[in-house]
Amino acid sequence: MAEITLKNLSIEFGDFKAVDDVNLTVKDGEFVVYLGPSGCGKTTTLRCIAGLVKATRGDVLFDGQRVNDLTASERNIAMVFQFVSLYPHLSIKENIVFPLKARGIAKAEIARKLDWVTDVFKLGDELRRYPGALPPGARQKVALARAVIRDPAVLLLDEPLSAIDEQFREEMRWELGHLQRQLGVTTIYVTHDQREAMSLADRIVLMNDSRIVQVSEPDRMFFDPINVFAGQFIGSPSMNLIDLVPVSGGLRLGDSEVTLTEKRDRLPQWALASKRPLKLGVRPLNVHLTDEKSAGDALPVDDIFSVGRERFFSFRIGDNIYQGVDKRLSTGGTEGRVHFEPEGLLFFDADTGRRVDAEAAA
Amino acid sequence: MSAPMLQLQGLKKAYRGKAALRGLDLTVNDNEIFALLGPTGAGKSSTLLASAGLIDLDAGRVTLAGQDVTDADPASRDVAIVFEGFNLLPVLDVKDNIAFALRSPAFREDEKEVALRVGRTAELLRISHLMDRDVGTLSGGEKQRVAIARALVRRPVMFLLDEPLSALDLKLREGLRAELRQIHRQHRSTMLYATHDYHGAIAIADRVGIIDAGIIQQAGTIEEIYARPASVIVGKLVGSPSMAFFDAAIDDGHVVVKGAEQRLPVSEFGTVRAGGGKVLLGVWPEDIEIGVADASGASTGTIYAVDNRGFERAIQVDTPAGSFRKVVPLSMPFTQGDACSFRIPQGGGFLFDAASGKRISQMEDVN
Amino acid sequence: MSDTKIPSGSDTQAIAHATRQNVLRKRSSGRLMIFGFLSPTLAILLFMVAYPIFSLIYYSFYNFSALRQSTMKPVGLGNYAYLLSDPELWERFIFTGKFVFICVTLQMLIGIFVGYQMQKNFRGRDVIFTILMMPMMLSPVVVGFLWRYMLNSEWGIINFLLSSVGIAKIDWLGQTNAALWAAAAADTWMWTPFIVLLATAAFRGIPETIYEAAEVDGASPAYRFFRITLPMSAPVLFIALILRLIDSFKQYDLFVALTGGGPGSSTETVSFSVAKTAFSYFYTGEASALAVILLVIIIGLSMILVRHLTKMGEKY
Repeated sequence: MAEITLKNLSIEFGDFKAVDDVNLTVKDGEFVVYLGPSGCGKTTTLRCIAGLVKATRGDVLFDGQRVNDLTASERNIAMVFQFVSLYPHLSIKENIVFPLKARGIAKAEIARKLDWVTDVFKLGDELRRYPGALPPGARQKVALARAVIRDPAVLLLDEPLSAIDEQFREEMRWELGHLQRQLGVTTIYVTHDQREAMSLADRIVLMNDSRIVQVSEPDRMFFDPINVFAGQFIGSPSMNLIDLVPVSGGLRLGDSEVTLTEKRDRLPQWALASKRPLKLGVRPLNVHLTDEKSAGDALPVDDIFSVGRERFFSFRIGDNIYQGVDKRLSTGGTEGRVHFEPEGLLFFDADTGRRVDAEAAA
Repeated sequence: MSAPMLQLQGLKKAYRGKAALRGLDLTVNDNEIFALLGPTGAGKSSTLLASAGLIDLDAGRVTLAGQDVTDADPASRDVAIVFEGFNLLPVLDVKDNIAFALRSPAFREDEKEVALRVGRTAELLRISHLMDRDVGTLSGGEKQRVAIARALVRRPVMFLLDEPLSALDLKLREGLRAELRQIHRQHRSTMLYATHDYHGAIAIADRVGIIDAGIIQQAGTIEEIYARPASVIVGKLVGSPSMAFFDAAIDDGHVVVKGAEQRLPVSEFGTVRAGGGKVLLGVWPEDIEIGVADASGASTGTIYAVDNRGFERAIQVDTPAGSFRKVVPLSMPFTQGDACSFRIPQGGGFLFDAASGKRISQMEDVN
Repeated sequence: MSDTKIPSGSDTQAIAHATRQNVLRKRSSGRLMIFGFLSPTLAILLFMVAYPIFSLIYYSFYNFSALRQSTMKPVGLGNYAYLLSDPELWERFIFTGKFVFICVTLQMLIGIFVGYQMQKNFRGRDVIFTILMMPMMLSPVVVGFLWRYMLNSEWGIINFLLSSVGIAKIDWLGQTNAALWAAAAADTWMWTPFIVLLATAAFRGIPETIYEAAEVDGASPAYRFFRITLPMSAPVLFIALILRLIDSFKQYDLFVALTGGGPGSSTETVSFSVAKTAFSYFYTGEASALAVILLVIIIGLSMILVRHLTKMGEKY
């Protein structure tokens, strides 16, 4: 186990800045997820920590020691790759003990460690089989077993669930979460799937365009996004983003007939008084379609659909479609009033995209 | 009311000894979206291919719009398929891909009419700006729209969609589903939509059919399925999280869950068709009551793992009778390794025969 | 937009009926078509392969000479008995065996080594690779003559180079043993590129992530080569081995050009003997029998090796 620190880390390939001045400390035993769209620099950062990519500037520290000049083999890290990383010509058992044999560990020790791993991962029957015979989910489990058998300083996972069929991905996600907490090894996990990040992480490092956007626990990331990008990247269905037009008595939603008022919707004073144009960010689960006349303004409903046991509805403002939850008692029909939960109102600067409510912090 | 558009009766098909369809019966009504929900290998693709006439059946009958088309070849059936891999023709550009079917001998439309229809369909799917593009340069979402346009432009009697959205990421999927719903609402169409994704199925379907091992386990609206799940397989495929199953036995007029505190009187479950012995108690996770450990009258379980979903959390609870997953509000501060208590409320479950998987309990008054 | 109405109800029936009027075709079985496409190839195979082989086997049971066809006489296994009891023929087999062994060993070792080096990205790699492939494209006769001139004991370039470093001239083609090694050198020069090609392809087929995983696991480059690279390329390399084995067993052209079978008939391979018996002596029947023996040996060897190959592939 180790604490990993990235100090002013930059990685450039020629003119291209893959990673730009990243600073981060991952605590011993923590499960940190690098989340972001493809090309944001998350995988490159991971591979740099692994030693497969060289840092252009800045330092990578393991427990305070600079490791920039050490090769991957020398760093005592373990890695699980996105695609096939098991040796197809070796049995599961041979795969798992490979790292120990490659480093010349004694046979007795190897046997002991194998027993331990077999127990934790419940591998009993599969040891004799070959990777080709196992489904992708099981293979990644074995890859994980191979990774932890050495007690590495840090476990690095590069989108390990992406190549697995959706059906089995959820199962693996639960297993991964359980195993990491049980083993307590420092883990850095890269993904573009925000659900995986939310589900597994102690902290999420959200990246975009080679830079870190926000580092927070999942709850904070969800309720307290630092900018529009963070707000929209996390959460599915996506956060609604609506223009706010100052009118007498409140803020109107774009070109619609709906106006949020100070009294009814508990709009903060500073939002009403703001000189800069604002946008409203509000998650669909905080937008309710209701029968109560006093709750909100009438809004033409576009479509009703189900997700899980919830009924959702969509509405239009201008050219954009937004979503919310249908909480009316009577189903069907397009009549209803839309109510915005005051706790769920997030305000963003319309130009910079930055969150302007007080609580947001990096 | 709604006439059946597609009727599949007793379909049987085996590929080199392995049975894919084992006597499948299915009815899709006119102007409805029917989701065929099942795991990989259940026979979804085979069902669609059989409906389209792209495979030979070993037995069974396919009736389309009242006509028996079992022996008819695909081109004359007037159905359109949207494939999982899009299957666009790489040598043609977007507009030629869409127009392809219209130019075949079966339709014999003149060019002006073709251009008109292709144009209107492209507009509907918002791909008019991509018409001259090479299909290889399109993104996943764009390719999918082209595939849908290609099916739409033929104005077929029925659409068959084989996991059309599985190759796309989450955000794109939501968007396209909304568009499909839109198209269905504005223009009548009948769709058979195959998927393994429960969310995807119920987001757009009018009725759902659960398919597994080559037969339809149950078909109906999602409410019907929730109210009367036909078998263990149905319970495992429906719901997010899906149904929780507990090993139990019927003892002295009570259902006893293995290793749990509760003894539930059999009468709670309605009439039960069984002599006793091993059963599975199936409960929808939403109906299970969860609390902190040591609550009275409740059974104990251990938290195996926690899944953070933003507004809520999901937990996996291990019990001696089996594990289950449940969504809990954020106010419940569970972490991995904690003990918790759970209770199955009165009348909150179904009994299934442990061997066959079929439901054996029947409530009288179901609304 | 509302014009693109997807037909409903009665419209549906109308259109459906229209398109299906007389178009409810039965599904074609397609089997006739398959046969049609295959028949030209089948015909060629029959004519150019099956017929010659059966004639060969047929004539092997006869005392027959193509020059004097009228005096054909059936002798049952007589040809075979004569051949297998001929000590000369066994000498030929031993010689051929030695040749095959040396060639295959040298080619595989050098080929794998060079193939491994080709993996690294160095300047001029593509140019060198192309040059390396060239010997393979020459016909064996050309190669044979080329080396014959190079190995000429008086003015050949090889002896010239040797004498310039103080080694005495060697009579390459005048002694059986030297000639064997000379022929092996020529064959290796010609065919090692083939192994290099296959080895490179096999090595390239191994995903980079496997090597990265191995590096992370702490494996040294040598460990990686012997435990990962070689085992994972084993099937392809084995195929290369089988092909070279069969090919060198049949070697004829090279020897015609290089040694003419000499000195005497000591560098005649079995293939060479077949040709000599058939076209110099015109003992057609006997030559057919020898050809059949060669065929049986090669088929037997191949079958054993291919079975081993399929067992190898099963693991994956």
